[in-house]
Parts: sequence; structure tokens; C-alpha cells
Amino acid sequence: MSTEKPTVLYIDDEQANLTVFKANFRRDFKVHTAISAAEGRKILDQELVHVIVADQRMPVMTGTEFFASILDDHPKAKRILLTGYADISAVIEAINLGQVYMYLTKPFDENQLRTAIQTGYDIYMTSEQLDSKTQELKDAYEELDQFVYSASHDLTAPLMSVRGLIKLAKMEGNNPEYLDLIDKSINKLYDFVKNIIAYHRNTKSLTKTKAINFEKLIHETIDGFEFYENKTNIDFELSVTQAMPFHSDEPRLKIILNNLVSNAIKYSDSKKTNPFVKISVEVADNHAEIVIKDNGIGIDAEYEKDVFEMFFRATHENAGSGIGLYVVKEAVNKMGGSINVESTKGEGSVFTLSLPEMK
Amino acid sequence: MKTQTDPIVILVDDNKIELLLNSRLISHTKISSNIVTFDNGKDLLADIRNDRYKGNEYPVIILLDIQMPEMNGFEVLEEFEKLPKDLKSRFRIYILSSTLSEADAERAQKNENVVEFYSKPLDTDQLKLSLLNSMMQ
Repeated sequence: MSTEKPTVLYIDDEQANLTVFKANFRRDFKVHTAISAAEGRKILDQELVHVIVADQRMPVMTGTEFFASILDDHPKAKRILLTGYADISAVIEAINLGQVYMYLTKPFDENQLRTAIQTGYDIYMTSEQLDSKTQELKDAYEELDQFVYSASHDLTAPLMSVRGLIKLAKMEGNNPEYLDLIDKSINKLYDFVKNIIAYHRNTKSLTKTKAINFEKLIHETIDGFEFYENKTNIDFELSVTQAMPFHSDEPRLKIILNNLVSNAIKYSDSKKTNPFVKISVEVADNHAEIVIKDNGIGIDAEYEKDVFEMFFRATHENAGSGIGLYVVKEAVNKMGGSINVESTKGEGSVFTLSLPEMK
Repeated sequence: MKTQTDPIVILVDDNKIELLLNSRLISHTKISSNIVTFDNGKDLLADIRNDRYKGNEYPVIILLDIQMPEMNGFEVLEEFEKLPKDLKSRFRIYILSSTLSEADAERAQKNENVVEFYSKPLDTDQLKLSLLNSMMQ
């Protein structure tokens, strides 16, 4: 468990008892003492206290009453009640009203009380851990919910387009135009499924590294988009400066390059006369810097920070699903690298990727 | 539909295939040959605010998608709600979505400004029937 010292607050109306308590326990615990319930309350409002030990018989407010009064504001601290005489009704009241977890007689036995405080602290920490695990699970569940919501849309929408197109084709008789559109919808669906699988693989698989031939890898990536309709007009430029061998996780690197290059193609600007994608790689000092620059449609300044978010889509210009850059970001994180984007709407985007040597 | 002029139908969807597909379905089934398309909600709202449909014989039919970037269908409905009553009265909004979420469907149906919620692909018979009903009222 945690290495921090348990913090304990002791409340008793006799100064002598407070002094003894402090002397006994200051080596084991961080000790606060208070001469009255009101003083004790002040300390609780300022300090994080794990265990509270209170005397039952105090003027103004008894120990039980004190515990009951702090239930709302300080529900987490574990409570120990000390009393000089055993009175069963006081015990019942202490448990029911004050949520006291242990009841000890006075004068206290030093070892017994030490164990009780330590145990109280352990219970406190265990329930803290449980709380934070519960919160983590809640967050993960919510994320999963959001994922299912968005993913089901991206899986269904192209299928519904296909159904509509088939309906239309039947109505009109043969019209090959609809076959092209069906093909497009299916490709979109296929891209999405590939990305989901890549995302899933990325969360699981361990990193394997090998020497990277950037020249070859990037040419293969570009060639993979042969069938993208706006690819033919785009001028690709590649420069690789590599002074040393570079090792990386090739499957992840492929996912990253695939997404970045396909975005550069998908979001190229049909109004420009010389659409280009310039890719440069520089390997030096045990890291690789990959810059992918295009003169495409660019990203609205207000959305620039969100483009790596899951299912975020910055534009209606082209039918992306918003998962690609999220997958990229996740993969980059797994590889211990970083990625950022600088973009001007209407002028183009520059993605800069920095990856460490992984051998 | 035996009318002298067709009602105007506005399609709003970020997916251009859907816009083409639904335009054709609507014109082939003679619901209307008067179709306007927008690929985002902002442009639709700008068009509504222009109030160029004032004095039309029929209300303007809007088929609105839910999941769109920048501004989704629900956000469009929120903005629409803020418009003056008489301007709003010139439009009949239908939601046309591929969502599988019951919460989305319920939310759309509960919205005062939504006539009906339809799942994609568009069922033109269903739309026709609903339009005929609303015109008889």
C-alpha cells in the first residue's frame, strides 16, 4: 500500500491525554490533536485525516455526537471511539449514528490502539482504491458506450446507402452509375473496419521492432492508394535523409503512414491546379522526423486541437469517419513518439511525426 | 401527387451519396421535383433565415440527418427552435437517419419541431403518406 504515514486526529477534552497520545504515536503516525469537537472540526476542514479517535465524554458535544455531525462533510475518515465505561446503549448509538468502526475502553492500551489506527487506515486506503477503480470502470464503460454509438453509425450508414442505391437501381432499371456509388460506400465501410481492427490491435499487441526502409515503406504506402479517385492528379514528392539505421514497429508505422497519406489524398483541394503531397523523413540522433505536407483543404483553426479525438470530424467536405487520426495518435503514443499538426484552412496541412529509435 | 406545383423538399446530409440517392428517390416517386440539398446544417439554417419560402403554397419539407460533423441534426433543431414562430411554421422537419440508437430515435420523436423520425433508407411510400395526411389537415 501507500508509503505515506497515516494521519490521525485525536480529540479529548483533557490536555494531558492529548500530550500522552502525541508522545505515544508521533513516530508511527502524523498526529493532530484537538481539545474540543469544534477544534477537531477545524482540523478536519483543513487537513486530510484518515483516522479519527475521539473521547466519548466531552463537554458541549460527546464523541458520538461529533462523529454524527461530520458524516456529511467527512464521511471517509475511519472513526474510533474511546470511553471510560462500557455502556451498551452508547456503543449502539456510536455505531448507528456516528458510524464508528471501533470502540475501545479508556485508559487505552497503546498497542491495541496502534493496531486499531493502522487497521482503520488500511480500510480507508482500500475503500479509496475501490472508489478510484469504480470510477475508472465507469469512465471506461462510458467510453465504450460512446464508441459503440459512433462505430455503429459508421458501420450502418454505408450499408443503408447501399440499400437505398439498390432500391433506386431497381426502380430505374440498369444504371451503372449506382454500381460505382455502391462500390464507394463499400470501400468506406471497409476502410472503417480496417481502422477498427488496427485500433484494437494497437491496444493489445506488444511492440516488435525491425530496421525500417523508409523509402520502400512510403512508396508502398502511396501505391496502395492507386484506386483513390483524386489520387491521379496529386504530385507526390519524397525525400529521405538517413544517416543511421532506424528501428521501429513496422506494423504500427504502416498504420500511421497509411492514415496520414490517405488523408492527404482524401482532403486534397480539387480547386487547386497543382495538388501535392510532400513527405520528408530525417533520421538523426536516434530519432526519425517524418513531415507530411499537403496543399489540401486544410483544417479550421477552431477544430485543429480536436482532430486526434476519437470520431471527431472537422469537415463535411469528405466522408471520413473520424477514427483514422485517433488510431494514429494511439499508435504514436504506444511507440513513445509525438505527432502534431499545423494547418491553415484553404491552404493545406503539415503533420509532423517524431519517433524514437526503438532497438 | 396531383398538385400544380410540387412542395419544396430540402435534403440535409453530409454524405453526398445520400443526397443524390434521396433526391432521385423523391423525384422518381413524384413526391417532388423541387429539391434543394445541403451537405451541412449551417447552410440549411442560413437558407431558413433568408425566409425565401414566404408565401409558398405548401410548407417546405426538410429531411434532416442526425450524425454530421461540425453541427449534428440535434444541434440544428436547437437553433431552429430559437427562430420566430411564423418563420418556423413554413417548414416541416423529418429526421432521416441510419442511427441504431433508440435514444436518438426517441429524442427526435420527442422534439416538437420534428414531424416524424425515419430510418434510412428512405421509405418513400411512408413519406408520401405522411405528406398527404399533413396537407389534408
